[in-house]
Amino acid sequence: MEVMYNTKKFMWIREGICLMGDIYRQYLAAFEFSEEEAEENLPFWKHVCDLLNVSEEDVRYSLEQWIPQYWDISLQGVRKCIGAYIRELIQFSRLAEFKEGGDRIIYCNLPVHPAAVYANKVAGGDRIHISQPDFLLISVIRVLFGKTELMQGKDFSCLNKNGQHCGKNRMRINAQCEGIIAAPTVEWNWGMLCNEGPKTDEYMKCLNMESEGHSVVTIMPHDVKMGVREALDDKRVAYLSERIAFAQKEISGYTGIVVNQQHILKAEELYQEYVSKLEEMTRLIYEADPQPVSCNEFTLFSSIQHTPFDTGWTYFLEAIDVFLEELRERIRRKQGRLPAGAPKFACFFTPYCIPWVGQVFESQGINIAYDMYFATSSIQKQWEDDSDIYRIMAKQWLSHPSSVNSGDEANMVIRILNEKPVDGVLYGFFSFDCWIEGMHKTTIQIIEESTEIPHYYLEGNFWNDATFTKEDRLSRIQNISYHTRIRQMVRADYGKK
Amino acid sequence: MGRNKVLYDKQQIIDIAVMIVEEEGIEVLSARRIASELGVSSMTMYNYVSNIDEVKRELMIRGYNELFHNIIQKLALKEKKDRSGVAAFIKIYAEQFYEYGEKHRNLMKFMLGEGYTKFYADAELRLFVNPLQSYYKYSKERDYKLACRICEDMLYSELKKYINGINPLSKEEFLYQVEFCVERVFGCRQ
Repeated sequence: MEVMYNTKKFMWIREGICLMGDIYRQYLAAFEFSEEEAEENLPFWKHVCDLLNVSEEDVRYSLEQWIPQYWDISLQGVRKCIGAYIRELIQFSRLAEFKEGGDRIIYCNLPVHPAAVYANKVAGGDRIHISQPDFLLISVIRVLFGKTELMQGKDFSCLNKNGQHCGKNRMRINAQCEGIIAAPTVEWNWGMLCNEGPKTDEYMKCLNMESEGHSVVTIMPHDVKMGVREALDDKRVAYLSERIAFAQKEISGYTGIVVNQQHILKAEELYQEYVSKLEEMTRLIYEADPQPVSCNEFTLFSSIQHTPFDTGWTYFLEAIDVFLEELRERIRRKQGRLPAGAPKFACFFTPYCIPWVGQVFESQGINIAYDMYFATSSIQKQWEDDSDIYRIMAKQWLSHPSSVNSGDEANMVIRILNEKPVDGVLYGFFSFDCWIEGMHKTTIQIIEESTEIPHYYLEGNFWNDATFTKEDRLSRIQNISYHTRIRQMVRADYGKK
Repeated sequence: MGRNKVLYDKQQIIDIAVMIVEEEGIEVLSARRIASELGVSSMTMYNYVSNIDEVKRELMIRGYNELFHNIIQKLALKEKKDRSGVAAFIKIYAEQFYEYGEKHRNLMKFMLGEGYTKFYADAELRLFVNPLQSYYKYSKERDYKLACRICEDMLYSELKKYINGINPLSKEEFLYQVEFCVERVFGCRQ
């Protein structure tokens, strides 16, 4: 069946979809599943929807309204990318079945170094499965369907205030109670950023009394002196690399799959291929004027930077290759979302779960050009020459702005902004986490002082917009837009950029 | 008093708050008063805002939004050469601020008084409560920063006198004074 897109209005003109009534099959076809693949995956896809309490009506709404409203699915790369998420979700929904067959399951939670986890897949092949259920569920349910039900209800009083407010934690706990998440063989928790993560795991384990699952925590205390460049601090690198190596040994003990340096190197190689393409994508979008796509499109590709998929990077790499070609074509044609010369912003962490944010900025004449949280690949690649793979991973982790002390983070962001200057930087959306929120509010002032680029803060909740709605935030975004436009108009005698 | 109405969004609360402040001043603004005007209980209101400070914060955002919008419209009417630089901006800003004060005296009194004191360091508002600051604070040139600051202080001092009715200047006198100050302070930098 042919599906045509009207790119201007993002409206789908469908032929006979309603008559056929098989919206599930149509969904897979729309996101680049071949006819055979759709046929093969259809029962699993229906099972996923049942599991997630996604009705036929929800699927239809997602396909016909929600996704076209926020993502430019006239681009095949975008459709393929969404397809890659669906494939991973289908794989995730089959984990219980795989486990019954004797396979091992490793879970991790956001964020982790993907190569470290994927190395287990390289070593174990089809006998082992990896997943990041929190990220996958929240991304898919929010991004594909715009639903928030799994973030409501239940008693979260065992978690402290921050844990309770985190939509991701709430969704994990709910999903566990609803039986959506199969019990893992082992959970590898990188409690690097969110130290509520390990506690949530333990709570989930308590809820899931049948689980024999084990838990391995790799934690890095945040006790380094402000401003220390952690990736150059040998003691810190050594400590973290030992922690990762030790955790891997523990995990191998539970899964029975030995992971050696070659496995990790292979995983790292695959990961770097993805990172390089991501870097090229960021460069193309940043340098293009007019900007060919919105932040919603590029975030689909970049948000898995800290997420290992059981289906690997293959589908994403395929999608990103197509997307890069489409970007180049749009750049050649000078096709843009906004007119040339429109201000460009960087955003610390584009809130893909609340896709209207990017859209409202666009409606106010501002492009969000790149995501600092994800635009770090060139910084991370400088550690390739280390001979110890665990040290490489530790250095890569410590070269990430959000993994280090706020002074180091500020300096990293300053380097990124000096390399890719913008008209403004957008921070915020962490109202559910007063630790990150507080750190950001102070860090941005250090960055601002050095780069002379205004940093705008937007209160909000990255995972869920229930308390910060589009209507409520509109005047604030207008505020930012006006300030930027005034600055553009009058800055002739002071602007150096 | 009916207390069974339904609130649809936070904006209804802000709309009523603006109305109360415009008519009677910030002193009478309270959760109870807003709830009463809306015909809902205070508890219902607190489902939409965390406390009265959040309402006040929104008043600031709304006030500056309107002000900035007017400034952009004015700037857009000018030739590029006549709108470049902070000095040119100060003159337009002063004029718009004065006109805004004429129309929304109580709201502006709040924006320059309690609102400023409360929110000048707020992460969301810090670049807006003092717009000139967001230009000169990035400059590494000391004299330039000083020039901006002097003009800004004079501007706010006169505006406060005007909205409080203490020895106020007429619009013409006010704008003449702003221009005089800008020309002397910025000198040949214009």
